[in-house]
Amino acid sequence: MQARTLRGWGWVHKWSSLVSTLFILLLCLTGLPLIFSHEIDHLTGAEIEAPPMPAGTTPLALDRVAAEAVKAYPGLVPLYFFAEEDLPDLWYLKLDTRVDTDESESRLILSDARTGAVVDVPAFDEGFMSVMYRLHVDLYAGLSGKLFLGFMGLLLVVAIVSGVVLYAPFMRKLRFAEVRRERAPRTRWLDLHNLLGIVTLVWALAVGFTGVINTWADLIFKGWQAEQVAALQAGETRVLLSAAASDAPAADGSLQTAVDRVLAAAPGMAISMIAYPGTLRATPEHVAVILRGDTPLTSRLTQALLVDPASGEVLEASARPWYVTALQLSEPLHFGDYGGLPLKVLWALLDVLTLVVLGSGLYLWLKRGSTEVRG
Amino acid sequence: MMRIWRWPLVIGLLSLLGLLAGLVSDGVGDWLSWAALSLPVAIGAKALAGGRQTQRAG
Repeated sequence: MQARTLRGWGWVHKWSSLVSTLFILLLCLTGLPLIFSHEIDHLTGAEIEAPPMPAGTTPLALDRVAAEAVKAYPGLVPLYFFAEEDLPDLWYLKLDTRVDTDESESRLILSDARTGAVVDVPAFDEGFMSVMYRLHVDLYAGLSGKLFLGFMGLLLVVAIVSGVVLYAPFMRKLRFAEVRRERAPRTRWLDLHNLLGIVTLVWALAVGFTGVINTWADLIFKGWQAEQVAALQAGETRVLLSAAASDAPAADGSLQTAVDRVLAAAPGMAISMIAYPGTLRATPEHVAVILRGDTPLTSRLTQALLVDPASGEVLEASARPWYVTALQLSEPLHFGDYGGLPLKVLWALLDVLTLVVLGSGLYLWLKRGSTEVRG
Repeated sequence: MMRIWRWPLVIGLLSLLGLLAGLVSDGVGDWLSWAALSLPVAIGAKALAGGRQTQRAG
């Protein structure tokens, strides 16, 4: 490689790193406890469990669960039901004053799926883990904070790619994993920086880039909703279960029957979320049911079906577009939550190695010119 | 050139396999991802531990 090209890449590596380093350090540090948030909640007793009841107790109709919640919070209306894969007996239920608010005043409660009793009102905005989460996700600055951190993540990707280009010229006279320990500290740390950077390369690129995609989640879902509304208005929908279909419970205007008809129309799928008519994820006339598959891969990929509670017709307005698939696959690859505790431990160790790469990079820049090797 | 990139390429491809294996299959896939992603961790940890030993000796 020509000396001038090399200097160019060196310039890109230096500035993309310098601008983003402090924020990436923050992301690596706050991300460390977040990898284990499930385990930490479990240990600190913050995890919520449904009260024990005889196995096979039949769940209450969704309409009755919603009615119980409204009884506990008079003046509010239900917006969404959320199902957690590992909490089969509980519903997260979001309430607000109207269905079409910006949800800034919304209230999230946990209801028992079998009795409708309000089990808990989780305080997501308190405590150490909440601070870690906000610093990691949006710096307490909402969408602009997310997009800012996403831009820092893009700079990290640029720093990684330019670092790979610089790896070869630095390694010309060295064997793989050779660290010149007898030389000055800066040379030793340069060798360690290069080695740790190159072995964590694929993991860091994957976690960095999927993190960037996650910062666009709000925009991605708004885009999909706009596509669904456009498809509905243009009449370009696919009917999965007609109003007259007799192989499913007949529509009676209730939410439970509407959801039962969706499940009948989509065998092998489980409920991830139910949105009331008029909310952001539904349409004014339809209930939206977001379904997920039941295999490790398809449980991450959702399908959104619409159902008219009055007629019982189940339709799909717009199949999941590629950018939603990309987002939904980005989540596990960023969180490292798809391979049990051993994978989380590996995620944490790779995160620590990345911290060493960042710290040593900063050290190399501060000590620049103190040895013959210039970075 | 090949000498420089041989090991980074092997580690990179194994990391990629590790990231995807756990995603598409439970059980065998999980074991595969644990094994593959242990490689970069082991190499990194060895290099860092070696560095401390030399410092003490010197």
